[in-house]
Amino acid sequence: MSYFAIGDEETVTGFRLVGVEGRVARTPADTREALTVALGTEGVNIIVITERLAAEVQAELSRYYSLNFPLIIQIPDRAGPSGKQRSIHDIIKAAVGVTI
Amino acid sequence: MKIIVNPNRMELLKLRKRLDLSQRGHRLLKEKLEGLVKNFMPLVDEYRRKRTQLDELIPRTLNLFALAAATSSREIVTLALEECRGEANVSMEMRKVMGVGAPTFRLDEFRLEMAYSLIATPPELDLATSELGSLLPKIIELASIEELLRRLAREIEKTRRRVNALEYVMIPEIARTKKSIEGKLEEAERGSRVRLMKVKEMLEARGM
Repeated sequence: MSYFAIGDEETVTGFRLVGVEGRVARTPADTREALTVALGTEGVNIIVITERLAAEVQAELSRYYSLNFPLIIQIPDRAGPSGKQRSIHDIIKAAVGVTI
Repeated sequence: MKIIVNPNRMELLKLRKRLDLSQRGHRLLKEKLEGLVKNFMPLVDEYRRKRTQLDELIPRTLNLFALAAATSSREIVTLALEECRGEANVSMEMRKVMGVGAPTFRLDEFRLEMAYSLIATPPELDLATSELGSLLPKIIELASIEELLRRLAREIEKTRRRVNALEYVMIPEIARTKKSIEGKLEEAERGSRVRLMKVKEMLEARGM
């Protein structure tokens, strides 16, 4: 067990079929709870979260990002990339000074 | 702003040493910054390449699941869920770039037991499952690169702040203070020379 998926129903079902545990989240509160569960589960190295949900809990996420562990990765959901995933663009901008 | 010190030779010597050290530190940090950025850029390229790839693959795979759910009853999918066991073995190592370490994960082993009946489930489901399984190593790789990028970016920011602080605050401050002490010392020297000349004049006038 090393992945943990947080997302809408289809995403989590999909990941469950390949043996990845997960939690369905519908509201930001659900997402926060799922994040806590994921962090509390032993052996979780990577949290996979859909962009749409991640966008709703930016503040928490940025706090988790500063932890060294586990890694959090945002993936698009069924509807495709939302283009909302700012965090990585932001860090590149902060580091290089320009957006690329 | 100037540093407040007594204008004497002792302080001047100290300041000279500090200035020298600051300039050396500045040069070193600037080189480090350049090195960091140089290592950062290829990683950004790599990240973007892999991200675009995944951004395309994941929705496609998830759509297959939706298709499967639409063409078969919910029970079948739920049943398949219970029969499915996947096991992933992940190993971690530290990857270091310019002294910045980040945990890098690799999927060593991934076993997927599709114990459910392949006949009862729609083919889309089987396809989707094996596709998503093959995406797992890519996801883990991307997550690792992202973490490394994050840490490098933090380090770059930190180094840049230090370089700027040295270049625009510390070094000018020390240089200004040094100059003002030098000025004051020169002034004192001129003063004492004039005094000596005056004394000599007075002595000569008295015929001594």
